[in-house]
Amino acid sequence: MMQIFRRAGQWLARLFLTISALCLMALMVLTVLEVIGRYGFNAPIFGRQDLAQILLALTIFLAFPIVTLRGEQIDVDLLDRLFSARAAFWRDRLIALMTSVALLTMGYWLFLRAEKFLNRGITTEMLFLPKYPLIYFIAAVVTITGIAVALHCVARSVKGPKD
Amino acid sequence: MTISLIAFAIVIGLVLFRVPIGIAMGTVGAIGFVILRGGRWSAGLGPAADSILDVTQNDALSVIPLFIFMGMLIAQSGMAHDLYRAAYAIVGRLPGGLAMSTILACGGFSAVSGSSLATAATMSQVALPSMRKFGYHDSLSTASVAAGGTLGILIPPSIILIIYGFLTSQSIGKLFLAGILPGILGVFLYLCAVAFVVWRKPEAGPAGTPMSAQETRQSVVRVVPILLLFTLIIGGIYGQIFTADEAAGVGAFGTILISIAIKRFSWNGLIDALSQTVKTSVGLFVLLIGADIFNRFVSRAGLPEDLLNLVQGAGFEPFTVLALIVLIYLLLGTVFESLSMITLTVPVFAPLIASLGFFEGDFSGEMSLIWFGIIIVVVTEISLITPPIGLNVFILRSVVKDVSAQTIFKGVTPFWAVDIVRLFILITLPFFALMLPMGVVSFGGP
Repeated sequence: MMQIFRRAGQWLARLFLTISALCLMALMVLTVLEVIGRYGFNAPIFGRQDLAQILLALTIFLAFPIVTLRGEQIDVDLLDRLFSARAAFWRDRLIALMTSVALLTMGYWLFLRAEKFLNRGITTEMLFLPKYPLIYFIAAVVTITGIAVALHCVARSVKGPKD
Repeated sequence: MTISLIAFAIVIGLVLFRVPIGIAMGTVGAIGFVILRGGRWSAGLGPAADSILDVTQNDALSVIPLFIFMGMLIAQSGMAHDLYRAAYAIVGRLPGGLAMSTILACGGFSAVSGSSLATAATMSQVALPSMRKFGYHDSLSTASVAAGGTLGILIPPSIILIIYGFLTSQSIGKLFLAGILPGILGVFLYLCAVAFVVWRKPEAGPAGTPMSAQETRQSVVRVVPILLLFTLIIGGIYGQIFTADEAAGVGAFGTILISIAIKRFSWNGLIDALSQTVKTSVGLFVLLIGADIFNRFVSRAGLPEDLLNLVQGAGFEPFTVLALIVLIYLLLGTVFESLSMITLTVPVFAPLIASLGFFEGDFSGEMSLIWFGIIIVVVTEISLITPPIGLNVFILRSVVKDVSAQTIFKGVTPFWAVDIVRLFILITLPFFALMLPMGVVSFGGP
């Protein structure tokens, strides 16, 4: 059972990372085309800014769960020497708990924002694409990451520090 | 003021407890907001959610992943070797020539990479083996890489300057332009430091064997594409042909084209660079979101005005305040890593600097902030080679395990000394940093 979960998780992580990478490539190509279009053909790409915003958000949020779950967020290990292995273990669980609460809270508020965007019919400035699907997506990613961090924290706590 | 200071102390506490910086700043900022608004959750958490959306959908910030991508591609393409060879072809025959080549190559690599750690890590693999072969003293060879590597965050593109520009709402393009002359000054002063070391102790850095005229020409020709790429990026920003994020896109794309042209392109390399890039970018964006929430909180709490009143009430001259802040950074820099130091402190100090009135006229705030940005980046560079935590020194340690950190720190001393000279020059002659970007201001445009 655990094996299946782990496999599925790894597969999902790779899929997310791949799409995130593709979005970044698309962002690069879009930027280059914009410059070429503007100077080569005197025709900037219509709605380039809208697309760039969407691609940037997708790049970041598709990779966000992986970076967070692997504990690769930027931190300061200045006082690490003061913690024994055991203390460091419980400290990390505490940080995971705090991260999870922060993400779940933000996930909830992002859902509220998405709802507002849906109800008010807010769109992007040039292409008039509805904004709410992206916000729902961001809210979902943040929430799911929060849940995953919590589950991972519980699983590790049950196992205990000797691992 | 009390609430912001308490919040700041809590953030520092959490960060030292190893809570990720972005999470710590964001959480404290959001809760602080709630308290300021009399305990209304919606008033505090709504803006925090807005920060998340604003930062990640700010298309000007696509400059971050795109420049990181470019740096990763360059690091993989082996162009660092080419740079080193070209520098060697020019100055290798001088006393201390290999260390000088290292400095020049570091400067060149900085011009296409936005990170000091990446510059030091890459150049140590390129330059150290040949310096060891020529019998360079460990203190000089390692120190030249550690010090040369610091140039990565000053010579544009620079991730630190991008983050600073975001936090202070300054043009990233102008900050990049402001970094050029101080960066070149840094290269020049480091070369002087090498010359000084070999003048005192010629056996520490013997001259390299000269290359034949043909070899020289070949080595120099090989780096022409990189130089052109840099010229295109910076020239494009200076001439307002494109914005910083467009420059980054063009730069990354250009790097791919160059590596195909010089037959160093590989799909695996591209995929690896992409996955590294997105992961690094996520880290930076979480940092930016947290800093943005905290930023909104401290300005709402009125910290900038309070600080201004405080220093003016105490009768401090603007330059005294600046000197104090620089001193604080030098001290913080001895223990804090550069990115975290800047993210944590800029929301507090930058508004104060902007309002002190260093310059006359309408652009005073903007000029102060751009100038200050360059100053704290130079201070950060100094901190990268200052004991006990100087990160670049520890990068070197991880490459050459048989050299002690003490030896490297000892070798770094002359470089450190010229850095202090450079800091002094930049503080007393603001013109030096502001000349290029403010030229851009005067001819208007976007």
